Amino acid sequence: RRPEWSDVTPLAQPEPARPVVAIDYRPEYVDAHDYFRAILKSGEVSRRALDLTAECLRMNGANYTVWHRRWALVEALAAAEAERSAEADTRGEKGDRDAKPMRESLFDLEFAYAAAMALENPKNYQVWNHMRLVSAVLGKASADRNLTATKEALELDAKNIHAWTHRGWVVKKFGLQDAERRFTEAMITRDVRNNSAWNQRFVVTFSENDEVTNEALKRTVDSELAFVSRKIEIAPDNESAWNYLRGVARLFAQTKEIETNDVALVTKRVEEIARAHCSVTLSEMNALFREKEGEDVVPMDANDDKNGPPSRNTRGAFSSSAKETPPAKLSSDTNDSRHAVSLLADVLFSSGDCVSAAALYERLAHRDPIRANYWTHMRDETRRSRG
Amino acid sequence: PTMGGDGDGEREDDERKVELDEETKKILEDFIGAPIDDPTHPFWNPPPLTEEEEAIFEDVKRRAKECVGLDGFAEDLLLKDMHVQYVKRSSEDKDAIEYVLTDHLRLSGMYWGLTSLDLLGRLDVVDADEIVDFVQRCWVPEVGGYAPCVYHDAHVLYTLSAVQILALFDRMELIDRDAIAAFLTSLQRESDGAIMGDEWGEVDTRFAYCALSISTLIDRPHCIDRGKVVEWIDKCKNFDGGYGSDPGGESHAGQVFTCVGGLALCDAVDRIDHTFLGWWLAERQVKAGGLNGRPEKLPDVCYSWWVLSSLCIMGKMHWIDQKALARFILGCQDEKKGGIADRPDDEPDVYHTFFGLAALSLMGFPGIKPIDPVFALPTHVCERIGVMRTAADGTVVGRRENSSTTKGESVEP
Repeated sequence: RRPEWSDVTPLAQPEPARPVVAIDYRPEYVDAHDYFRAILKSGEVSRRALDLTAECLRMNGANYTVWHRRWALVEALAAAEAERSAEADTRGEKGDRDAKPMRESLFDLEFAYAAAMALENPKNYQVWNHMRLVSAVLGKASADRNLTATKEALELDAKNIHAWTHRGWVVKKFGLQDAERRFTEAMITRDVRNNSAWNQRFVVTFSENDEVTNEALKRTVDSELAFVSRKIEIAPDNESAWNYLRGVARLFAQTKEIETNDVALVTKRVEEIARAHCSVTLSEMNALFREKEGEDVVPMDANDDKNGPPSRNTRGAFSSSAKETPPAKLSSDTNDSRHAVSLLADVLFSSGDCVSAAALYERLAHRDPIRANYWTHMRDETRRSRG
Repeated sequence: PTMGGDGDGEREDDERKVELDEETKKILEDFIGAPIDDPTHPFWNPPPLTEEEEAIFEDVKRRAKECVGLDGFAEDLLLKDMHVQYVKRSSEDKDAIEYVLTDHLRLSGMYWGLTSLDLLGRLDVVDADEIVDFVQRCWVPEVGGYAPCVYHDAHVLYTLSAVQILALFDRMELIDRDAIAAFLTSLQRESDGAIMGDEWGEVDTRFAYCALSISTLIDRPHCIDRGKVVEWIDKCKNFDGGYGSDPGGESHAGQVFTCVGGLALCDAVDRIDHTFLGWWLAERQVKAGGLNGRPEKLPDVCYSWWVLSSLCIMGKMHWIDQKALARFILGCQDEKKGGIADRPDDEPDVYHTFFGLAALSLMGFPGIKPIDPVFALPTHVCERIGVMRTAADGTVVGRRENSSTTKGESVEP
């Protein structure tokens, strides 16, 4: 079968003999791996060994021992080539002037191989690690190729976590955050529910960067709030967008040097976005709460219109924003985004309005019974805060 | 008396007549609001159910069948014997395509299958000596770790699987603890405390978990700098409350388990924002009852384990609907072949069989032995070894005597 391998004795898998089953691929698979085991044992460094690893990986791309050996062979072959060219130079031979490019082109070829394998085996950890090793050698010259390779993998599966993780590594290593931000926008535009794209956007927008001033951070946060708000309009039930909004708000609130006023402004903006996708009315909140607590959340007066914004409020929950928010929708909340209600509850709680937050958590416990115990836990937390 | 409208649309047996005294009759009539003796009264002649009502009723009946008893499930809903036979077959059929193509993770496959058998109380169906012998043939002395199969490279993933299998069979004396400890030490990165899988250099929170678990199981906790690992895991915490494979990596339930389990092994669960992460984990449950691995993705049985064990360690398993999850897992059983699949009606495999059973075990499903959420080994095995264990409500029990895993301290290897 392999005349060019006639000098090598293949090593069979050391298991007791079993009757051969007539599956077509199997003899080919066994044969290739028997020879692979042989070169593993002998430590052979050669082109044919490299080609053999490709043959094995074609049949099973997840075999990391083969990937290990392949990388070792690539390094060894490149080193051998470099040595040959150095020797040629000392001998004064004009021949191997293409030695350095030869070594690089070995890695260039290897990158192309890895990129092709990534499309064949997209969920495979090893192929991406291999690409990383090659890229570390090639340096910044490989940046574009990496972005292209990952982009192509994401064409096949836009949420391929390995491709995104590799992109994250490339972006960080070569300082490509700005371009990546534009890429995440494109991916979010294609599919607003792509959680990986949202994650990447957060990482590159808010990555640890000592040079960011408070002013710059505020501008970034404002523009991100506008961005996520638009995306929420497209799909108000999209968990990823709401998580992003929550994350931005938390990051800003937790940044040490930001002034309380600025935090309050951002919190208000977040509250508005949440409120735009809830139709909870005061009277409903009161009714809900009255059942449990026997008191009104907010004192009502006769002029309160169920379909309009609250006319009076002494507890602070809806007062300042009441004028800015659009008229509340009809009282049925079945079209409310659960994520909007939960974010609103969290914002109110963190702002100190425990009573309104409690009413919202109570509502969520009814509307989202799967997570009822979480919502009642949060409701109880608000009570603890009130003392 | 006939009691129509009891759901089946059929009337109870008309012949079953009961003599009632006047007082009892009055009480009954007051209660139901209709005369007992008048069979033409509308109460006894309800209108037929609409199509929608029928559908709801069928669903309710089906669910009622599935949930017998107040707190538990009928034990026979779990196809125990079929799963035992499925696992046994998958380990024996060495010509099957799955077997041939998975020798690069053979030891892990064995761990999934064998732990499944132990959880079902049927470890006796395999030949312990043959298995232990094979495990030992995967030992790579030059490296100090185990490979997934003979002629493969050693790796921290398969070193853990080997130690777990030897633990199952109570053959820990075969482990070269010092050699493994040295191997683990070599895997920790000087720059940031991260753990690599092997000399090839890949870094992932999975490997951190493996190294922490192995070092605890073999009682060499300080062969790696636990304080530094904790710091690195902390960097993998994301803006949404979850954890990723490395700093900046997208939050993923599998990675969350490795981080929560890893931190638990270092006595450092206080580094976690329990409410925020608990919420992110609870949000993995979809209406059908299954769990997904990250937002806006499909549910998969394996996430039943990754999510549930993490919640368990934090004492928050009640933040999801466990009954609904159990129904989902049971619905992923293959009634013909045995085994559990990732989703209903898909092909079963040993991986999903194990994680489905493990999740049911955490929930206390009858007929399955308890499993430890941190070590992913049956609790009785952890007790035998003497490691600290985590109970179903998240409390930590049974700390090992003279354990040197102190709270968050950075101790020299």
